[in-house]
Formats: sequence, C-alpha cells, structure tokens
Amino acid sequence: MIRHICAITCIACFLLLLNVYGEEDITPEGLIIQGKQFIETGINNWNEQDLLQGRALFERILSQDEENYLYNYYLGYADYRLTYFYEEKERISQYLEDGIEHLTRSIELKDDFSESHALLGSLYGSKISIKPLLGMTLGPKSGQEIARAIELNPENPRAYLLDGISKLHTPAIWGGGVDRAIKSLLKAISLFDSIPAPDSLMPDWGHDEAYVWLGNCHMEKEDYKSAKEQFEKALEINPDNGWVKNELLKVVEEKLKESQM
Amino acid sequence: MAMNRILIIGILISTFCSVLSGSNSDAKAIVRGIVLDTEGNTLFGANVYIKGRYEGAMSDENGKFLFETNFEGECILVATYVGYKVYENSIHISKNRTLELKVTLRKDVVEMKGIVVTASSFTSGEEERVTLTPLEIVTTPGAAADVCWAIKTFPGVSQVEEGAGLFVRGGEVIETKFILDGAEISHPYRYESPTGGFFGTFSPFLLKGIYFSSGGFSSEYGDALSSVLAMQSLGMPSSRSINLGVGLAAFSTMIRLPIVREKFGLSFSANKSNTEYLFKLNRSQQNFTRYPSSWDVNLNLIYKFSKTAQLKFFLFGESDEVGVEVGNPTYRSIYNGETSNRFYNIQYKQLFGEKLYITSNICHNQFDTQNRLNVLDIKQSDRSYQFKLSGEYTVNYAISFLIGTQHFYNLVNINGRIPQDEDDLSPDAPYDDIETNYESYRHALLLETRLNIANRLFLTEGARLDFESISEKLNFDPRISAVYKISEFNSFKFAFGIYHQYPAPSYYDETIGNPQLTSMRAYHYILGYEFDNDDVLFRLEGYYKDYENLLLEDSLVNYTNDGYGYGKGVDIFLKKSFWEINSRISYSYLIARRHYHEFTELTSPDFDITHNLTVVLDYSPIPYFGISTCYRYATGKPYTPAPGEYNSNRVADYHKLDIDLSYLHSFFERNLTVFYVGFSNITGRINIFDYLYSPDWSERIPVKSSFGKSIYFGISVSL
Repeated sequence: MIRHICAITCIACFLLLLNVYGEEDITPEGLIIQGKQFIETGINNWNEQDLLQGRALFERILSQDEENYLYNYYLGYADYRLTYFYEEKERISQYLEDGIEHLTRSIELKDDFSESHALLGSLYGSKISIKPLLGMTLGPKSGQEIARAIELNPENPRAYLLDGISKLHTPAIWGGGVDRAIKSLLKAISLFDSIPAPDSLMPDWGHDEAYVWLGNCHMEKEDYKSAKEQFEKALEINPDNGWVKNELLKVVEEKLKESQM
Repeated sequence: MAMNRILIIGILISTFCSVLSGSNSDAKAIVRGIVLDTEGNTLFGANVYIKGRYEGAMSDENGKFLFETNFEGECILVATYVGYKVYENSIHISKNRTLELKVTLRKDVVEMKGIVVTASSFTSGEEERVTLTPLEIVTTPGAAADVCWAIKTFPGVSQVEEGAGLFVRGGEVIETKFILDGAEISHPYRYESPTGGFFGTFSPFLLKGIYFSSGGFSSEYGDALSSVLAMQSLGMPSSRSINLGVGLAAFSTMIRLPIVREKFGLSFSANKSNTEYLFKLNRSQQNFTRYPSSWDVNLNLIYKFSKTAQLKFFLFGESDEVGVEVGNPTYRSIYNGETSNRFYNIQYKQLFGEKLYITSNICHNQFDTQNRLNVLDIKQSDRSYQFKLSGEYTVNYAISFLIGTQHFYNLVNINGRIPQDEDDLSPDAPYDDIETNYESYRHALLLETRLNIANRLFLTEGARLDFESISEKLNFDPRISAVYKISEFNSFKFAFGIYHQYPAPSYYDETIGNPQLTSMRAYHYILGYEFDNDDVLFRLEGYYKDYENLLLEDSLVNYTNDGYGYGKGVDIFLKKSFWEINSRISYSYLIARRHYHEFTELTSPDFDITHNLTVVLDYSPIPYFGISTCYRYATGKPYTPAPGEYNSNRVADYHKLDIDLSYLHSFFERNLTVFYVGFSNITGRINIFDYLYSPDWSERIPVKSSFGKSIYFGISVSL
C-alpha cells in the first residue's frame, strides 16, 4: 500500500515537473504524440473538447513550421475527426474545407505520402454527402486519391480502411456497395494484423475501426452474428472504443434478439 | 524500514517539486481572456497561442482561456477558429503579470470563385451554388441534351419557336453573345436559321461550367445588347474514362485521359448524328432530300506548367447539312444548307503570388456555309481572329480590380445570288449577283472594380470602351451591379448598364445597307429579390430595357439608326424539392415593342411573347430509375395577317409536355450504363409558329412543329 502511495507520489512529481518545464522543453514530436492521444481519447469518449484540444495542438505545431507535410497531415486528420462529430452542415463544411486545404498542402509538400492522399479522398467523399450534386465531380476525385494512396503504399492499411468506408457509403452503381466495402476492409485488417507498428510519430490509427466498419457492413447485410463478432474484435484491440461499447453492441444485441424471436 | 525511507524520499521529492513549481510559476506571465464573435457570442474551442511558440490554450465553454508563458516582451497573439478569420494582435508580456484580453473573431468570407455576383445570372458547373448542375442541363426533358434548349427553361428566355435560339427579355436572337473559354463565338448554332438555329454548337458534355446572364452583365462582355452565355470547357481529367453513346439519331464517344497526373491531360470526343430514323420513326410531315446530319470532333489539351499556371488548347470542328422541302402556297422547293465550323482557342491562365490572376486567349474561328433555295444561292465565309488579355488583382477579400483588352479581326466574304425582294424566293423571282468582302476590326478596353463591403454589399462597377473600324464609332459603356444581403439567405439586387452592339457587316454595304450606320444601344435597369438556402432558390426580378439606334429600313439609304423600342417585364424562378421531387419553375411576363426594320410604327416584334411558363419535375420512385417531365407554355407568337398590318395577330398559344425516363445500371466495376427514352410532346399538340402567305396574301400555310408525338431512345456506357 505504502509502495503504491510512494509510486503515485513520484509520478505526480514527474508530471508536475513536465508541466512546469514542458512547455519550453517540449519538442514538436512530443506534441504530436500528445495531440494523437487527445484525438484518440476524443474518439473513444466522443468528446468535443479532447478533439478540439488535439486539433489546437496540431495547429500550434504547424504554426512553427508551415512547410512540414506531417504537421499539415495531422491538422487535416483532426479536421477529419471533427467532421464526424458535428451535425450542422455548415460546421461540417468548415472542417471539410480546412481539412482539404491542409491535406492538399501536405501532398504539395510530399506527394508520395500515401496517408494524405487516403484522407483527402475520404474528405472529398464526405463533401459529397453534404452536397450530393458535387458527386459527379468529386466522386472520381475521391476514388482517385484513395487509389493513389494505395498505389504509393500498397501496405497502408488506412488507405484500405478509408476505401472500405467510402465504398460502404457509395451506391453499387457508382462503384461502391457492401460487398466491395467488405473486400477493402478485410484487406485493411490483414495489413493491420501483419505489418509492424509504425514509428510513434507516424499515423497508426484505425486498427479497431477496421473491425467496427466491417461489423457495420455485416449489419447492412443483416448478418448480426458476424457483425457482433467484428464489434467484439474491435473491443479486444481498443477496449475504450465508446461507439462500440455504448452503441453498436447494444444495437446488434437487440437485432439478434429480434431475429431469435 | 526500507519502505519508510522510500516514502521519505518521495515526500522530499514532492516537496522539492512543489517548491520548484511555485518558484517558477512566480517567474511566469499569465495570459487570459475571452473569445467572442462579432455579435458578442462566446466561442468554445478557439485556439489562442503565441505566434512562433507552443504556449497557448483553447477557449472553454464560456469562451474563456488562460495559459502561462515564460516569454517576456513583444509578441503576436494568434486566435483561430475554423470558419472564422485568423486573429493576430501584437501584445506585450511582462513576467509575474497577468494580461487580460478580449479577442473578437470575424466570420470568414465565402469567396465567389470564378463568377461575379450580379443580378439576372444563372450558372451551372462544379461550384457549390450553381443554379443548375451539369446533369440537370443534360437531362432537361425535351432539351435534347442541348445547352441552349436547357437555357430556355430559365426565366427571361422566350419560347419563340422550336429551336435553340435565345431571345432574351425582348431582345433579338443576335443580341445574345456566346463565349467559350473567354473567346467569342461568332456562329453559336447548328443548322443556322434567322431565329438562331436548331441546336447549340457545343454539346454540354464538352463543358465544365456555364454562366448565363439575361441582363445587367458586367463590363467583361461587350458587343451584346441583351445577354451573355459564357461557357467553360472541360478541365483537367482526374481519371481515365471512356464513354460511348448510341441513340436513335446519334453515335458519340468521349475519352478522357490524364497523361501526367495533374500536369497534362486530354479529352477527346467525336459525335455523328443522322436524324433519318428519328424522322421516319416519328412520321414527320416534312419531306427531306437529305436528313439533317452532322459530325463534330473536339480535342481539349490541358498543360499545367506550374501549380498556378496552365495552358489549354481547345480544337473543335463541326459540319452539318440538310435538304428539306419548303415553300409557301404558290411553290414547293428544296432548301439545301451546308455548314462547317472550326474553332481553335489557346487559353493561358496564371496566378502570380495569390493576388494577380492573368488570363489570355488567342482564338481563330473559321465558318463556311452555303444556302440554296430557288433563286437564293449564297456562300458565306467568315474568318475571325481574336486576342484577349486581362488581369485581375485581388487586394484583399473586399476589393479586386479587373483590367483587360480585347482585339478582334473579322473578314466576311459573301458571294452568289440573292432575290431582289427578300420576301420573294420563288423559282422565277428576279435576283442580283453579289460578291463582296467585309473586313472589320474591333478593339476594346475594360476596367472593373469588385467590392465586398462588410460581406453585405457586393458592388461590381466598371466600364468598357469599344471601337469598331467600319463605323469608326467609339462607345463608352458604364455598368454597375449591386447585391445587398439583408440576411444569410435574402438579398436584393440592382443593376444598371449601357450596352452597345455593332450591326452585322452586311448592313454597312453601300448597295444593300448604309456605310454611315452606327452602333445600336440599350439601357438595362434591373431590380430583384432572391432567397437562396440549401433547399429553396427563389428569384423575382423586374426589368426595363430601353433600345436606341436600332436599324430602321429607309427607302433612300436602305437603313438608318432611327429605330427604337423597349422591353419590360418580370421574371420569376423557383427551384425546390418537395416529396422527393426536384422541381424548377420559371415564369416570365414580357411586353416588347419595336419600331425597327420594316415596321412603320412601334409594334410587337416576333419575340414579344407575353407569358412564358416552364415547369420541370424530376422524380426517382425507385433507386436508379428516374422520371423527368417538362411542361412549356407560351403566349402565341405575333404574325402579320395582311400587308402593312405588322404582327397584329397572334398564333394559338404554345403547349408542350415532354417526359424522359432513365435507368442506371452497373454491369461491372467502373461501369455505368444509362438507358433512356424520351417522349416528346406527348399530347400530340401541333403548335403553329407562323403563317406563310402567297405573294397576293390570298392563301396561307401554317409553319408547324416538326413532330406531333415523338420518341427518342438510346444508351450511354462508361468504361
């Protein structure tokens, strides 16, 4: 017990030291990791403040070096997350536009960075959902950016994840549909499972989400048993995933009960 | 014992940390405050920080922020919030002091890219606030996938007859200027006729965007009395695509290829149309010796030689022909017409330093036509060259300037024979042989200022100077357009301008025209209201157009500039979706009067169509299956029932109901196949547009629509 108190006291001191000196000594690398954590917590808890905190950190890092492709990527990534958080079209559009601007800039600075292409393609797709009449022009652009991401790095699991999400939301007639989405998500999962964890500064999100979206695909096909399995796998990877814990599992269990009755 | 020692060390470290923390905190400054919008509302989530450093904080739910910093001295405080302009302010930070700040953020201005905000304008393209999408243009029922026919569903455009001719707000068909990629098109119609032509020259599939102004347009556009249709050709292809289309009367293909991604791309299209089966299947009453047929090819090359600069080569060739029986109560003869049109345009665009936008065009248009009907046998050959250069300088979001210069050279050659009396085309009518050339230059200088005052009032004011070599007349045209936003969705619009147009070169001919003629003039006065949110677009506009210096026939000098007239009316446009039906309704009320050409007094011209109503409905009852319908109504066109009684009667009112069905299917990945069938004029009503009289006015025959009921079908496949 005393050992525990002592350990906690030491950690408290250490954190206090970080707080005191951190702001001068902290590196952009450290802030990126901190920003990523804020975003992750924000998604898990569906918390606006954490998401905005993460975005604010990325923005401050970028203000130090606007020509850095990775900083632009992370600000675009924070915008991408915030587009899912809001419901008002105007707010979503503002984050979409900002995200597209930063990801485009990231690509201008480093054209062969697969992650930026994948996320940019996804944001184009989201823009169509806000303004469907843009589908004719942005649809091909969205697909093209994701295809480019895969071409640049065929082992980028997030490119397949975003491809899968995009296909799930695209009618089959325009090249989407559940079956095509499942194919992409399975590929994403196989890559997440097989490739080693990247450098801590590089994007590493999405492993649990691949299972979540695969589960959503099964929900779409009314295969609730498989959907539940995928949601449970997502929780194994990320036990804090609030969307699965608080919503999806409950819905799928209700559906399973209904189907058994 | 050991445990106690660890505990003591822990407490010591903790104490040391606290002391250290406290001592350092004393050496810091505190920056705190509140973030508000311009209306005084607090903003949650604004990012406030010191420029060039990491210290900062996010505003809380009450808009408050607080952070500590070791910095001392002058620095820039930055505050950002997505959708708002970045706030930057110089502050002074002193150690051990607390700085209290109030930060006010202003909403970011939504930029209107590419299109100047004016009254009476309609758009189509990729921008977000277009009036019609390219798909809506292509799928307008009864519009035969033609730009001009689709434009005729807008208010202000009169249904004078079944053709593509754009008669706008009491203006003649020649008063509408067509522009493609900044270059003027001298012959914008296929199967040309005195009322324009049967189709527009350019297919909507070649276009990326359309801007149509029915009046009050800016000083960017000259030599047009009534309206402007400015088109933009396709941009850089983003992915490879091949489209094939086969219809009852046409075969078409289009290839789009990005050769070097985002750098160099091409679009190529080839179309062939032959209407023989269309006319035969629909049992047209017309007798053809050569069914209307045409072909066209287009090559569009885009080279982006830097991130902000591009060159576009647009090459277009078109040819059409027709042989049809025409006549009046005393003769029936065959009219033969052949036309070829070549259009070559090089466009250069470059943005310098995010402020200066330069565009330039070099264009050559070559048009040849031959028309034969009894004694009429005439060949016309037009060669035109034009050069344009303009620069737009954006000072900031509120002010921009446009300055430009335009130069045109036209050479028209007409030879053959023409009847002495233009109304007598009978086989034995007397005629004259003619062989003549008209050469003219036109030079223009334009200046325009665009102001955005507090994101409420948008002003476009400018002027242009035009000089033409035949008339040697210099014109000065000042114009102003204002849009005042009374709220986010409601705005009032006003426009005034002076517009000049030079007569066609043949009117200056010493034998059949008058070399002393000068340019015609119109004054536009427009007042309108608009409501536009994501769900509803509603426009109401009243206008008055005053015409001066119109061409009036004269027994001594053939023509004078003593003609005059006016057009006034109200246009209403509503676009709204209800019960999953997309609808658009256009209504126009028009009174037009002219004393020009052969008229002896102020009279209703042919295009004085009092009421015009168009209702377009789109509905998709099941996924991938669409039904579109278009109903058109127009007051009967004026016609002359007896010599000297110019346009004193009207033909019966015009009614037409068209229905299109389409079904989309994907047979394999990347494939989209569209099956479509169009039923035109399903009520079978025979609309009459005019009467042709015998020379002694004792007999007449009606000029009717080509078809009763008709059907058209086809398939389009993308690979």
